[in-house]
Amino acid sequence: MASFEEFANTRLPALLRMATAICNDPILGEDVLQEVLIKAHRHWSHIQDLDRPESYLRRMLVNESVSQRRRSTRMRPTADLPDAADPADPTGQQADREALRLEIERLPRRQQVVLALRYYGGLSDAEIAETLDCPPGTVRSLASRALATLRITAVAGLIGSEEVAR
Amino acid sequence: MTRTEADLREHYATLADAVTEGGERRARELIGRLSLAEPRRRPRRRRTVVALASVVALGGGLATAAAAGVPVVPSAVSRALGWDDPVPGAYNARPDTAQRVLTTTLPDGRAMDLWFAKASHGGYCVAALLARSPGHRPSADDLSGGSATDGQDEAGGGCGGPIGSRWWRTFGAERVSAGNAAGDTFIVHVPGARRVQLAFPDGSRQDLPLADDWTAGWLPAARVRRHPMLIGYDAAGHEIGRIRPF
Repeated sequence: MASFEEFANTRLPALLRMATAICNDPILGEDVLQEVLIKAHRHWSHIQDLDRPESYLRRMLVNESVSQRRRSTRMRPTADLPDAADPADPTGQQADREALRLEIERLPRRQQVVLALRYYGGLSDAEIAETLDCPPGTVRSLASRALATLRITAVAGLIGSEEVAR
Repeated sequence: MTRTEADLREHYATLADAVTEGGERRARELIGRLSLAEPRRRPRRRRTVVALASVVALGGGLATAAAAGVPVVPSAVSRALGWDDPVPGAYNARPDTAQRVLTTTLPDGRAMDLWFAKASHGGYCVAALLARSPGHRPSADDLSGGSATDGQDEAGGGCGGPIGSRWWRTFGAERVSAGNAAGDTFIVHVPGARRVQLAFPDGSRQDLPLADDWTAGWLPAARVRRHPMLIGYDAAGHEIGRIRPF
């Protein structure tokens, strides 16, 4: 049975990257992971007996991220964006990435989480449903709405064809 | 703009690559501290006294609000605390416990209020509310959720786990412009402190507002980059704790 220290140190890089993806923000991801580590340490005697402690921690990450930041609450910078193209980013790739990050940030939290678990974590809809404690159909619906908002056409088979057709 | 699922995968891969060595180091340090810290065993009676003292200390402020009836909370704050969107299994704010704990002023004259509410499962929620303009006071009827450029009040915040009666911690640094200057807000829980200051590497000090064990404020980016230390003192002027708010 792994000790908390052994487990946490071994899985830390993966957990930190997952927290960053779920939060859509490296700084917030770090904060959320630290909260989860503190709680996981407190309840380690229970967690270490689970079949999949990492899945449990992933669920804790999701709950903590929702608790720490809700979509409608984010303060946003009010400075004007520069009109001219950034000379350091002539092709605009960096600007496109930032635009996508901001659009994801404006999605409802659960939609954000579904995207992160699916497109970063590589989880199936069933696994995401287990993490979010909801039916797989809800996961597909959340994903479908998020992709529609982001103007991304899903490839049939990756999400339910019925959802894509809506 | 045409996007594909591949763009999403690339976005998350890039984001995950942005995890810094510093972030990993800080997390490993935390793991080390947690592993070293054995659960403290105290006599049950003393634990009860400490718990009661915490409740009384917190309840003092809440009683004030309760005495005036149900607290009138600006809608921006209620949205920031997530009352309209409770999440099963997460810490959710209890509206009846909301109270404004302190008010401070940004350099452009706008008021920033710090709100606190108890949460389910023993947690807590905090929210910082920025008035849309100097002299404006947000009310419960205000629209919310937009940025200052929309002519609305701004609020940011969230909820977390229980806070110990002696645990110092920072919460919710956010990038917010004040006038022409960009900077970061900060909220810090400083139990036991009777006076708090930011100490900068050049020796300069800045006093901060303090109420009900909380302090909050805003610093321009240039001063944030100097990584000031927040230092707290007891009633006798002795230092009792320090923490970096950024």
